[in-house]
Amino acid sequence: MKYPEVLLISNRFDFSTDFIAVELANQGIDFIRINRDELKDYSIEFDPIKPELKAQYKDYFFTISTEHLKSIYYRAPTFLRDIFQEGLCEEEQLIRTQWAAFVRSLCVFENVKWLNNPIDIYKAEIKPYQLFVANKLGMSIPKTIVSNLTLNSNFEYQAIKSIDTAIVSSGENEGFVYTEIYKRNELEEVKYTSPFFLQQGLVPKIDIRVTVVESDVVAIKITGVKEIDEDWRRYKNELTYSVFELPKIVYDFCINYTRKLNLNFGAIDLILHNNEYYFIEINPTGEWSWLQQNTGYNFDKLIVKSLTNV
Amino acid sequence: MKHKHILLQKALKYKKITEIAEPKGFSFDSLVGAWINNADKTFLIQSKGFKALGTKKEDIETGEDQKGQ
Repeated sequence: MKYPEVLLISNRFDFSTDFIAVELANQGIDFIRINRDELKDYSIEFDPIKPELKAQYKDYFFTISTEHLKSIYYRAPTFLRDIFQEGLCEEEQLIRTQWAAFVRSLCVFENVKWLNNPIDIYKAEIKPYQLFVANKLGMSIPKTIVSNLTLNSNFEYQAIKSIDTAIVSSGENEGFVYTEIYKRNELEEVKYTSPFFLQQGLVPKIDIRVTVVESDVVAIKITGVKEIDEDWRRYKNELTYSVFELPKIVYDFCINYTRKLNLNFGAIDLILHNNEYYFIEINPTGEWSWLQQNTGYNFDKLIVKSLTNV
Repeated sequence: MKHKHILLQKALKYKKITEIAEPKGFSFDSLVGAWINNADKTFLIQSKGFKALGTKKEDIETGEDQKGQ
């Protein structure tokens, strides 16, 4: 029987969690990884009042209890966007909804450290709320309206983006919505059936990804061979990543902002435009392993430090 | 005339991934919590040519964007 100190909630194909598992093992920390895609083969007994989880998977048993557990690394969805996807049998629908609800209910382990608690992730993923809080903390944000009308503004450039991650299915294909930049007067006034962000387009710009783990802040500039005016993710194979130091005021904002949202981990996107730093968004379940691979910076060690320093 | 939604006009189209393929030559070890090479027992994440997860499309992604899966 194992009594893990650290619980990793993930799925088998989330290779970033492999980095954390390997680092925890290197440091001799007792942990267990629960993969959501394997849950249907688990046997569980979960007492939400105590709280305590007893589980068996394959030939091993473990108990998650407040006596031993110190932290949880949560790499799982809080929003379910595809529950009623066509073609799922009834059994599969239940597997998706009920196991997802079970995973969320682990929030009863409220006295352990979470990176991050799904309840906090849920709120922190609301993009207009992210901007609201950033502005309240005194950070510059691009002027923003949520509308279902394309309105021409006085800005030289306008950014159009979805107000939540938008992946749309169409037959055998999927479509992913990136941020698109339009020049003034390029848009005609049209009313659409769903809303989107109309934002001041910050052109020219330098994209910055800031990874915050409690009070550790790692800022990375993302640049291309040519200036990138649009969404940098369109140029994923032609990018250069360089770690650099943020001005103190921006550095402090990143820590305070993450704390304000009750997050121990956050991946913040900033833009440097005309020598001013702008907040764009935060990803409470943001990726970091591709940055580790491209910069050599050990984010895995930083995350494990946070998970074990309780 | 009805306009196509502005978010869809320039969306990146790609073929839907219906099944995630396991990394060839590796198996997931639940107790170790990582993918391991079947032959030499080394970790996938330390293997040559391993591509880390990024914030990008058309890849298998679980953390940042594809939250609903």
